[in-house]
Amino acid sequence: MREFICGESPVALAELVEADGLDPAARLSIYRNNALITLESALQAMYPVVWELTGAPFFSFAAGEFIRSNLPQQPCLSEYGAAFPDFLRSFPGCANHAYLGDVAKLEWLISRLLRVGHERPISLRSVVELSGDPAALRLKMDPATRFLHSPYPIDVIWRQHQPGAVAEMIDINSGEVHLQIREAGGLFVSRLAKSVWVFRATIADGNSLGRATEAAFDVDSRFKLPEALATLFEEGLVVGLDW
Amino acid sequence: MPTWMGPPQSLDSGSRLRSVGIGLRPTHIAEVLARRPNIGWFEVHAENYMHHTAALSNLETVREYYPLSLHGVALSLGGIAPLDKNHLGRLKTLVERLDPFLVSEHLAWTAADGAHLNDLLPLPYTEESLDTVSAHVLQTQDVLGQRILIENPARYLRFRHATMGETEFLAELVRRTGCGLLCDVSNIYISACNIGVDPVRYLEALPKGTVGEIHLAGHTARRVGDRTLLIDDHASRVPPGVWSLFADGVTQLGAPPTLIEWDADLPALDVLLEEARKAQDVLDNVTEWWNIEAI
Repeated sequence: MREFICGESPVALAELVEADGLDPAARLSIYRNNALITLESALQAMYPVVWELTGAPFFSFAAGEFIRSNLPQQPCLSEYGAAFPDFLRSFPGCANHAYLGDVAKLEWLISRLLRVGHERPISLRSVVELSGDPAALRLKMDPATRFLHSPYPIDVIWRQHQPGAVAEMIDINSGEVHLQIREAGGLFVSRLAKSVWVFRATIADGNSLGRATEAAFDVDSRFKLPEALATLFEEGLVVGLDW
Repeated sequence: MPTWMGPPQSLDSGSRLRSVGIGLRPTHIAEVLARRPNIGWFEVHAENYMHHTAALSNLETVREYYPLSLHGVALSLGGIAPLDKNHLGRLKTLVERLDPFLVSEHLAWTAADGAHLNDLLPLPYTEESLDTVSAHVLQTQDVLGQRILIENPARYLRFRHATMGETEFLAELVRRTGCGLLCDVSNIYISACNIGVDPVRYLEALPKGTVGEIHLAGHTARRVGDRTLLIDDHASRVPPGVWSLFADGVTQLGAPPTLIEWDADLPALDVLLEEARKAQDVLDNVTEWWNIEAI
């Protein structure tokens, strides 16, 4: 049945099915259609902005191609489609719309935020009171936070497809964006300076404070550590410490 | 004897619409919490809340005001592969958190070779299938510590190598496992059209006293070759033929809790509530008839 759902020969299966006045292959195709519709609907629910940007026919075509090579590996549809952004990035049909993959990635990360609980932030004082080497310190980032960068203004594109948005011209070549995506009693998609983004994203990846600081300096020698550290705590982004 | 080897739990009385529930989708949760509509209970798809912390938190608020029924769609009870223990564990966690008055799954398979097709696929009604499904139902009930209901599928085909009919299969499954049945009247109607099941005989053949819930939903007619098949898409109002079968069959099914299912092209909440009132009218007529008989 799996092979049949993916479009391979139904002959062996059809031999198992009573005709009951209809070609058995046609009866089997109902299940194939239902399965494909279910999976396509799951992708549409996960990527509503990509669906609006591409239009239903193209989305349906791309989703169909994706589904055939990426059947769900776990039972919950809400977890399906993690590879869709990468698929769109390399899909020939999207070659002239390279931003689509990054918009999809933004939608995927937003959907992940709704799956995690909030943790209580800690204050900067808890770090100051520690006696070890601060460079070796690992800060645990609020799990309801994600980081994403793109050569395209995907935050503006995404925002224009939210309820009540006002249409405006978008310059797709306006430069790269470094985004922090956070669920904190509401969804916040914010742009950060590149060095601050690198600092925070490096911490979020589980690296030490020293490593994050180096990475931030590597992209901007004017990076101000005290200020970056203070705002990290002021925004309640740090929820734990580890050495 | 396991604790789930007993009759289905009953709902509290006190509301005119106590017997009828509607399928609750995330789109309607905020409105339900704001309006607190007069409805007996809600049913949710278990899989929608297994990974979604915020949604589960909202659902727990709904649970403070309404009984919940938990309807699983991806356990693959009919699959030859062992049950996914992680998935079963997540279902158990939900049961513990939500304390549903009903837990149900499908007579179908959804997974094979590590892929989850997320569609309710048909199984041949053979002794081998019966052994597999029975073992999976028993395992599920043991893990959850409670009886589950098994739903009859909407069918688009019959297998040549089947050795028994669907009602015979379900009756034996009930006998072997102590599970109850979720009788989807719409699915019987659809199977009648698509593969020639006799709906009246089907209802008569279900083992008495085992139906713990009824489902009612809309379907779509699709031309396939020179035949018209009915497709179970849960995307419209319950059609007249299904209402009629429900009214005719509800007495022998014991007038259990009845659900209006609507999953695609979701309408306004009020449309679902209207459908629920129609179902309640049917159930009320049955109850009145019973009361007259008692006199």
